[in-house]
Amino acid sequence: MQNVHAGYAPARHLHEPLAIIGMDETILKSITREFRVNDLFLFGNSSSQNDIDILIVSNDFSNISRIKRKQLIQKSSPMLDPICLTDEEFNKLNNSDSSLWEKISTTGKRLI
Amino acid sequence: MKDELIKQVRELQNFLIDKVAKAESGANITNQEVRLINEALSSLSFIIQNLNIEPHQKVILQKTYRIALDVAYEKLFYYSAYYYSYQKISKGEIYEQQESFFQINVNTATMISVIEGYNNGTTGIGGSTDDYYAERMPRVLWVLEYVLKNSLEELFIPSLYVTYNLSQSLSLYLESGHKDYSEKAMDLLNSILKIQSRFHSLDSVKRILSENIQLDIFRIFQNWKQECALAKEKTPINFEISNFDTFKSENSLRVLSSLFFLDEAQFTSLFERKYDQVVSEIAKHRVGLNNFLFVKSLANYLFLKGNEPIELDLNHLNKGELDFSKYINDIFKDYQESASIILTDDDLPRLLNYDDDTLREKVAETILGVDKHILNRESQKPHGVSEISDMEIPIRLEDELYYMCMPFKSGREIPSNTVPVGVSYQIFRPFLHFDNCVVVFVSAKRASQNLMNYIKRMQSKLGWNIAVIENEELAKLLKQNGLLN
Repeated sequence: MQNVHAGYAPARHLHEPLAIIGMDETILKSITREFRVNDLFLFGNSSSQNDIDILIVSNDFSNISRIKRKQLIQKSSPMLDPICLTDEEFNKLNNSDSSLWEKISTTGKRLI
Repeated sequence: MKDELIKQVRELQNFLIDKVAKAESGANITNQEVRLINEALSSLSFIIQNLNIEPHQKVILQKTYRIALDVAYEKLFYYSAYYYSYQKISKGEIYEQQESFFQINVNTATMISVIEGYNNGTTGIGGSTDDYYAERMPRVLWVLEYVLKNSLEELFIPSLYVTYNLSQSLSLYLESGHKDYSEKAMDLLNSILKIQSRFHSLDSVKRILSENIQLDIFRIFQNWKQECALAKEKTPINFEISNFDTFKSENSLRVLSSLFFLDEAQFTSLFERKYDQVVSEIAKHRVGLNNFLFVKSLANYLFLKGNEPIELDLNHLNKGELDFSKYINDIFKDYQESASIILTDDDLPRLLNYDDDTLREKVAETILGVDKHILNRESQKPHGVSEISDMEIPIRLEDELYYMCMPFKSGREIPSNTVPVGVSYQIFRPFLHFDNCVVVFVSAKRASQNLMNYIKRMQSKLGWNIAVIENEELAKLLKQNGLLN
């Protein structure tokens, strides 16, 4: 077999138990199953299981259009409202003074 | 004129690709450059949606649109121009005020490009940045109220442009059919109409409009768009443009851009009169605004004149040298071995009788090296409007993530003996959204000769990785894996 293998990234340790964050472990697995995730933030109002705001950082997104990134995540996890960034895009965001980054950095929980 | 369009579209595409390359290198993209990108995208959108071009060229233009819009989109900074507008205009010096008006219009133009991208099938609308468009626009209305309340005549012209541009974006949004912001957009558009009425009642504004034909026609055009968006009774349009021959190229092209929608006969006549002058003028300068405005009017004109097929000369935007044929046996179980399978008389009729869902599930069973959860999801998902292909399977080739996009055609779906060339857009479309992409077209019936020739041409000319598993070959693959039952 020539360099073909499943689109699966190894599981990583979480900083907090998922039950406390209110996020189903299967959601996390469904993301890391397809993408090699470098960073993952939960932010906003995570007490509800609907429309969970999540920031996913993966260089696998670099060859995928923005609209498609979101669709791919929502395929297996329709309750997620994801922002999908590459490392470079994420660095630009956390060096910016946008209110979005302020929200993520003050209320967000890092999951990976 | 066709040759001129071909030349100008190539220039436009090259301009956008240059800006993308500049952004990717980390260099700063100025607001002036974003303005030009949006002007170019506006012309490109018309071509994508309306001109008679081949499907693969439509995909290339859509991809160009997508990557260039990303550059403009990055500069929105969550509509900070809207957010800080009141502060800058009510308290700033004249140059800060001018800069703020400029940035507001650039932000609005980017949202117009997003909506046009939605209309031409390239992008979506929605997400936190787009949310700010509607959330922060009221701050711009405060600016307009401030200008009116304080009778700041020196700011009337930029204010008018802002109201018409905002109105254009909202009308376009409401007409697009997208729903998330429709209530807010309706409220905002009604608020802007009231502000516009107040401006238009002022003598100084009436004088400005009477002296500035370009602005006045833009006003009429936006009024017409508002009436369409709000389902109001249309105001009759009746005007003649005088002294058009004395207009400079940019002014005349702006007028023509509005006129195309308002009065086709006048548009055609005036465009023909202006054509030689504009061509001669843009040839003397670097590619810029007038080129993009001209492309739009030229595309408008050719559309009205019968919209004959046109073959553009495009940059193919190719990346990567992957040869997917080397991997196909690693992805589909016993693919090579299946070539020696003997089919019985019952086998093909059985294959042709499968519906789309059954075909997807069976083919998914033959795919190796992909997580079963993903295969189950993709093979069982309902068909959605936003889906590019029936199945989109992530695979890693040479340690990079690729998407294997699989459009399916069951025997039941295709009434003719072979699959017609009309499905080609569905086969090529994945290349718009994925830079790392292979397409595997799965069909129970044989592809027509025209379709196969078109696919081979794109494999050769554009380096697109497209494999076809059809008819007997498909039956043999399934039978080899015990799935043709």
